[in-house]
Amino acid sequence: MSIEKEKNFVSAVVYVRNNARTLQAFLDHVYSEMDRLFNEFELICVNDASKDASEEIIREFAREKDHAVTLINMGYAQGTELGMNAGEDIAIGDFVYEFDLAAQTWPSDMIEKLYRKMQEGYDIISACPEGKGRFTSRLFYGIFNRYSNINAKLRTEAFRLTSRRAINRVTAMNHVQMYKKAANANSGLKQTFLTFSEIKAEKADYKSQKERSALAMNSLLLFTDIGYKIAFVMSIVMLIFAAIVGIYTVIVFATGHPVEGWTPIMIFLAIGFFVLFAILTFVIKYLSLILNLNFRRQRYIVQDVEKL
Amino acid sequence: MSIGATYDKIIIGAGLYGLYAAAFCGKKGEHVLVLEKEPDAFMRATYVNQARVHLGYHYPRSLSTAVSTVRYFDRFVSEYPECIKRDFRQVYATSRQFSWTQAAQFEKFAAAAGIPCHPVPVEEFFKDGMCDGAFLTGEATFDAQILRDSILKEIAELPSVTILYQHGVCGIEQKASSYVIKTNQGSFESSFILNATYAGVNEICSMAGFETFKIKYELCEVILCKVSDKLKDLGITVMDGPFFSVMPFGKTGLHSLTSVTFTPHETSYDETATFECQKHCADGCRPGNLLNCSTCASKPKSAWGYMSKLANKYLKDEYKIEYVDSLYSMKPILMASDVDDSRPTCIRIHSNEPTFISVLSGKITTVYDLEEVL
Repeated sequence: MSIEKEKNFVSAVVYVRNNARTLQAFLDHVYSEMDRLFNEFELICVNDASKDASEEIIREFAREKDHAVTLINMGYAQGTELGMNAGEDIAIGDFVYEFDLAAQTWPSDMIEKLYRKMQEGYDIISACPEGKGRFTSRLFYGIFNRYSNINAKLRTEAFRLTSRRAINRVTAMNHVQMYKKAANANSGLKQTFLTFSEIKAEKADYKSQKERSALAMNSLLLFTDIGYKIAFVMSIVMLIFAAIVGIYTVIVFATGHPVEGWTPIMIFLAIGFFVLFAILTFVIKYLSLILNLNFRRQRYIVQDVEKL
Repeated sequence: MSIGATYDKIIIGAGLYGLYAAAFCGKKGEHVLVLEKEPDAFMRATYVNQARVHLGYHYPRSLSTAVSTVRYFDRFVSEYPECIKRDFRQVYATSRQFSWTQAAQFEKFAAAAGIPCHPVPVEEFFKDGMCDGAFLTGEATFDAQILRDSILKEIAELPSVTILYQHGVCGIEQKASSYVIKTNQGSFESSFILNATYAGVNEICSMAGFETFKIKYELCEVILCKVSDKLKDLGITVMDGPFFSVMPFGKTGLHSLTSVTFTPHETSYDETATFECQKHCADGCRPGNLLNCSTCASKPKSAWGYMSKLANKYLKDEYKIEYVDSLYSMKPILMASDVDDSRPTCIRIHSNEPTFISVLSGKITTVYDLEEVL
């Protein structure tokens, strides 16, 4: 049976960091699927300063494949997010697959499934492993989804497919994406996910532990207002506390017989801390405003405009 | 033909360098013979390239190359005005991502090189966020066919210059005071040989037993295309990295489309160009006897899909490009020039009395460098 190959030009960006063990099988899988589905495609490998044989495997793989394979060697290890940004900047396809980990954990037909789903009118589709995932991931996504005002709910993703439109939109929104997944979700374009059951017994880590914690902290601060809320509430609480201490000092002075010198010290501390926390409250407010102005460059984000 | 046909100078290769040298020496009254493997002049690299008359913009990381290019630009444009096209806007832009040169650096470089460079709005040509600077420049394009006709006409008036086509050199023998050049159609003798064969430079050097150039070979594709009206009088070059250029191809009415990553199809690091496709070539192309890639049956599949996608990614949607044809040629690149991306003209005098000189240059305007050695 011969299938008519798709006319769209499709790119696949793969983040590679010390994946020599799984890389060969992964490249074979992605390349053969792309070749089967698409007339024209490219494979972009972002080698994030791998210390193992990853680069040689890519070079060997690219032999005899004319223009289909591009290798980006990062200057030093910069993590998945920046690596994927680089890969995406090079990609020329109408649609771009993004693989955060060079290991195939999904059934072979997932790549096609995502593409078919895309044709139903989505701009971003993720392939997510079934199951709950690790505790820290659940905690992070729980907090993130609860406190960000993004519609789409985030979850662990193995890879995703984005349209050129989505890439352009997200690029226009922020020059450097701290957290691609959230930026995508923030784009306001139509998106969905497909789940699969992981074919490997071991759970795959789509990001390294160190990177994950740093990223989690940054994205919670950037994409949700949880940091601002906590800081704001705490400084208000301290503000009130300082006020109460002030009142208490006045009462003790009026009714009891405090040790000499106690009252002025307490009054000074209460007023001092009251002013300090008041200033802090304003500073936090200012910081969150500046963050918003800088980070979210576009004033509003629409999904599309329809003439009715 | 027997040995005995003796000339003052024998020039191997009827590209621009070969023919310019022939005309230059012919005017001095010297008996000059040009030997060309192809059935006509300008069949390979002189014709198959971007047709850019360089004014230095291409070398923001090599000021010396840029400055020397500027020197020759005016002379070339005034000596061959009939083949020069300047009535279009030549825009250089620096890519926001992956560029080795940023907009501000490019402007500074142009000022240092003394070449015109006027900032224009990026949004006029490019999609949002793709480029960080765009500049209107004074570069031109040349029409290789017209240039060939002009030079051939010039040579036709010089009775002392002979061009023999379809004379491929197959051996070189050094005598006491001369060289004997053996071709498939006889041998010729001269005490002065100029090797102006570009991609064949090492083939000739090794036949003569001289040291070869340290070069790599890239099998390159130049795409000819039709463009929408908005792009007609516009040339766009995105620098400085894995980008592309679409610009008028001489006066043909077509544009050339090339890209840094997709134009070279394959690379050979051997002394003489060695490629997988030569195994399938019925005409006898092999290492040491490189034939014309453009007319070859086993030339690589066009990279149009890649190049057009790359251009579309940058250019606004109103600029449309339509495929017409692909031209292929072999490009030798001096290994030393990769880091600063300079393209020096390399003239090497292998021997004196009898004289044997090889020239290797990637730009048409530096042809005047030859005058010192002729």
